[in-house]
Amino acid sequence: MRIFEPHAHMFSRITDDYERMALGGVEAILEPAFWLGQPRTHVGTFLDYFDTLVGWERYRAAQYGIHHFCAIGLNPKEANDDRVNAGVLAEMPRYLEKDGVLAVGEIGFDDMTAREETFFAAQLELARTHGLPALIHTPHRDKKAGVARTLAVLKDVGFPYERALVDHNNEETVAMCRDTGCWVGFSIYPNTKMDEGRMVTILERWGTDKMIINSACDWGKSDPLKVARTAAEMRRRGYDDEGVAKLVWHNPIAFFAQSDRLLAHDLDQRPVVDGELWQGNSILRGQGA
Amino acid sequence: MDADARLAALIAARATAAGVAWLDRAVDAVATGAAAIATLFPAAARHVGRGGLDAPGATLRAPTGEEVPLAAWRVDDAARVRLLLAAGRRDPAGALALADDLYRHGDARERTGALRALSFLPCAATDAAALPAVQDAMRASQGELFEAGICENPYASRHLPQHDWHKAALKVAFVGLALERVVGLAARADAAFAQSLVDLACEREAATRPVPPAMWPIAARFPPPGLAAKLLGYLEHPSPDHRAAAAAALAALVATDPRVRPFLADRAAREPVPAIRQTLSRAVEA
Repeated sequence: MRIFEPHAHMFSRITDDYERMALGGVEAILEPAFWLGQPRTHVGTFLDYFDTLVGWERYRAAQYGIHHFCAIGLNPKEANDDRVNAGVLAEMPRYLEKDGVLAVGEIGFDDMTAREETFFAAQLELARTHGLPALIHTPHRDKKAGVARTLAVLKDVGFPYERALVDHNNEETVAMCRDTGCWVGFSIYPNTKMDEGRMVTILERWGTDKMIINSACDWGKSDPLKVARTAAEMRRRGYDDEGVAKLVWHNPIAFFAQSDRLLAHDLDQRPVVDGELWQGNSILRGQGA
Repeated sequence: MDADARLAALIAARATAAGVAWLDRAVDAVATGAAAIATLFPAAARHVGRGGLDAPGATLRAPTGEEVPLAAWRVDDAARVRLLLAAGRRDPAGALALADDLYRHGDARERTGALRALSFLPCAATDAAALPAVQDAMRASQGELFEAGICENPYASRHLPQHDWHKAALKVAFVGLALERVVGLAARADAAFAQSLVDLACEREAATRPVPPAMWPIAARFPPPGLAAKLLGYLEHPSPDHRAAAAAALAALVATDPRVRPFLADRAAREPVPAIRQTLSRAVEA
């Protein structure tokens, strides 16, 4: 089973997680930019983080044969912080032209403030300018209202629904997302958000078209193998290989391929095999000598 | 043919017509100030490709006179060098500072492109504005990035302070790259550098790990006590690379340490590789 993990915050994970994900079938990861637990107080801190997403993290993943892509964006929490919000947006265009940057994200609402809405709409414009789809976070609290307002912003700015992945859905929000034609994302978590069994029940009701699941794996209690575990639950409940592959491989590729920067055949080549070089890379500790 | 035209020809042999057209437009836009290099520079690889430039043996002449081999270059490196050359035509005095800025904001491929451009930009002989980029690359743990910073890079060899140059060149040997790819190696190598190389060899020998052979001819120019004996041991190494490097180093040592001569003669009589045999025979006759 090949897995394209479409939402994993590897910055907050240890290297062993990459190894476990590789063993679990993960061949590609998309890492959206998010917050760092502690609020940032300088634009430069964001830029260092973005540089890590397009640099070291990509390289770290390659050590385990995993392709690493990312989404660049100002997250909704820090969109509220005037020390950084406008400055980060001003620096984003140069990042949005980089290879491996397949979307703008995660953007959207957290507390549903006016600032969040301003920077959400502005980043949808950036996505349009740079030909990228958008990966959209929805609030943890007041989820239903948050998703409704998210969809309203997409409509107001005229952002094409098929280029929007609205994430962190649950049973209460699937219907309204489906009505618009946007891609519907689910973060499979231990305890909160969505679990494997509930997810498969949703798939049984709504089908797998334009559905995307992820493990999010972030700072909180989370599990980078949740996509693989959900795939196992799908099998247990009667899905065949093709049905599983559509959800965990073909759907995320179809969504992010809208960037024109993701070529499916590139994914057929592993970025690195033990001892071999990807883009000439090998951690320079002299072990190759 | 100037550097830009030569790179354009090499790129045209590897990129699609659409990619070449995109690059020509981008180069014009940067040269006239019609578009920002900050968003063209990262996009280049998607248009011209990322494969090797595939120009073994090709070199590009730097304004400071060095013929820089292009064997390690990729198509996107060449494209990004063209973009920076265009920026240099528009603002010669600011070109190296701009390259440093693009390095700072680049991913590994962009950084590599910026580093490869440095030696060809206006004022490369005198302007150390991009030295921070080279120093950053020295500390990089990603192979190609480090390589672009120090290998076949006259700008790096010219501007790195001796301590930094010493550490960078030592890292070249440490990670198993060919030392001779460091521009001006012979001119900058000193006794301290030679000692570092010998220490590296001892560390590797103690750990029963391979020793990079290319270090021996440098070490032989500043021979520490015992070097001759160590090299004579390598003359019996089963690997021709080790024997060749030891033979070259001993050929340099023989003038100051004639004790090695009979051992060179002894090995020359048994050496199966003609080139090594020749090195040894010449050293014996010298």
